Amino acid sequence: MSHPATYAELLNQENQRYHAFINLALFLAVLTGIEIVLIFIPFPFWIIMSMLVILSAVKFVAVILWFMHLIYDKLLCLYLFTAGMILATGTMIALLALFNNDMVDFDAMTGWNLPALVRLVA
Amino acid sequence: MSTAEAAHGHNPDDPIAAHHELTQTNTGIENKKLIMWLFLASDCMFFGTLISTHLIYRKLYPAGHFEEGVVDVTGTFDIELTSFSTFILLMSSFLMALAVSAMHKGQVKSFRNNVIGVILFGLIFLGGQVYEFQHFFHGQGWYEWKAIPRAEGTAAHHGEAATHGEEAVETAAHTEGAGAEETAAAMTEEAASHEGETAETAHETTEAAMDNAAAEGAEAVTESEQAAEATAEVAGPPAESELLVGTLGNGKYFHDVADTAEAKHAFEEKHPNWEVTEFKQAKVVPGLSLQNSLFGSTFYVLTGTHGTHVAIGILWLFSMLIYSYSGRLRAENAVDVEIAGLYWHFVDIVWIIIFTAVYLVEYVV
Repeated sequence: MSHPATYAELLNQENQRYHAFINLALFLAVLTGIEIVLIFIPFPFWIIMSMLVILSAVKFVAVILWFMHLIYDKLLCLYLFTAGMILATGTMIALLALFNNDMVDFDAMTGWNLPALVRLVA
Repeated sequence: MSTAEAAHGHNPDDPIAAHHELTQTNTGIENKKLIMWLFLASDCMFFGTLISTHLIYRKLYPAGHFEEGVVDVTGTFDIELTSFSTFILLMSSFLMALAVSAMHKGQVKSFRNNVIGVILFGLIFLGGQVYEFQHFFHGQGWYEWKAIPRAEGTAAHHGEAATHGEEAVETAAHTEGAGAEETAAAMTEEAASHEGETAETAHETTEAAMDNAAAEGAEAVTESEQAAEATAEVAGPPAESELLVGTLGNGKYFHDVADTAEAKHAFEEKHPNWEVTEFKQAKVVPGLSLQNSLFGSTFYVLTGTHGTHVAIGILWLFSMLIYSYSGRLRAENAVDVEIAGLYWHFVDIVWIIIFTAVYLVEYVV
């Protein structure tokens, strides 16, 4: 988004953002309320989990786009942050996938059972 | 051109000129802001690994309490408090966005008001976390108790019966079972009904109460006899408290420490007019520490690291607030406020993830 050329334009721009911020704050509060109610509803596990993940992702994206001005700033900022997010999410997925492998004897590993570690590496 | 303009190359109070001056970089983004975005990207990875560690250990060791057995996570957590903290942090983010907006417009006073709000909300969040940690560390317990009113209170004043009634109601407030509530209500009624009795009937009731006490044990009888003697010496209508001598009270008591002896001591201190005859654990949630479980280790490290970030943010904003009173925080410093705002919002988005991945998930069966 281009930066305002005059102070009047800047005021107008900031006032518009002000209303966006208020709406977003209300939206976030409502989403948080829904999250809290959701955990007490006897729906299947996967439905609740999916909804919680989606709601969190929506809140996360809303904050970085509006409150952190990514939607107003140059795209480079978005690329930088997204790069960090991709690396972080990739690491999380890799770790969770690795430790979801039931073939690995993690009890032995955490107990410093060296033969098990050697077998695993080999 | 003024001295300030000569020093800065532009009018420091003119936000437009200040912005043009600061964005004269290859990327068109202020350097400070660019570095902050890079830092936040790296911090994403930092929190990503901490959250992963917590989730992995939670899955691998669901019963992760080395000493006490299975960790009662939902029993330990206080979801109402955490939800409130989450709401507070979200609203602080909103105020931070307003503070940045105010600074862009060169409105320092509005900036100050909003930043004070952010700092207060941040402190409330930290306070909640400190309370939560303390609560988790000590554990909590629900105890069943039986008690009789102390005979020493017989010579006490008229208002003491009301005190007993209040104690009963207060205890009922901590009670989970309906039975104890009924008991407490009955005790309250008893205290109220005694209030209207004459001195003669009151003495009769005392005797009857003493008989009850005899059934409870010889010690209680002795105390009741002493109480009756003491009453005889007092002129006028007898105190209501004496009428309760020998009346057995019981109920459940909640204490935020998972130690029976400590809980009993706290109960006795809270209800000095009651003599506890029985006090035992009904349910107990053991304390959670860094050492006694993997869940405790990963939970404290993750939420503690986040709390440290919040504390750093508060200090940063507080220093900016103080700086603004020096008169040197002007429209040209809007980017500094924006950077602090980016940090604060980042702390907020991390909490959004932690709230779901660490707290809410535990309640989904």
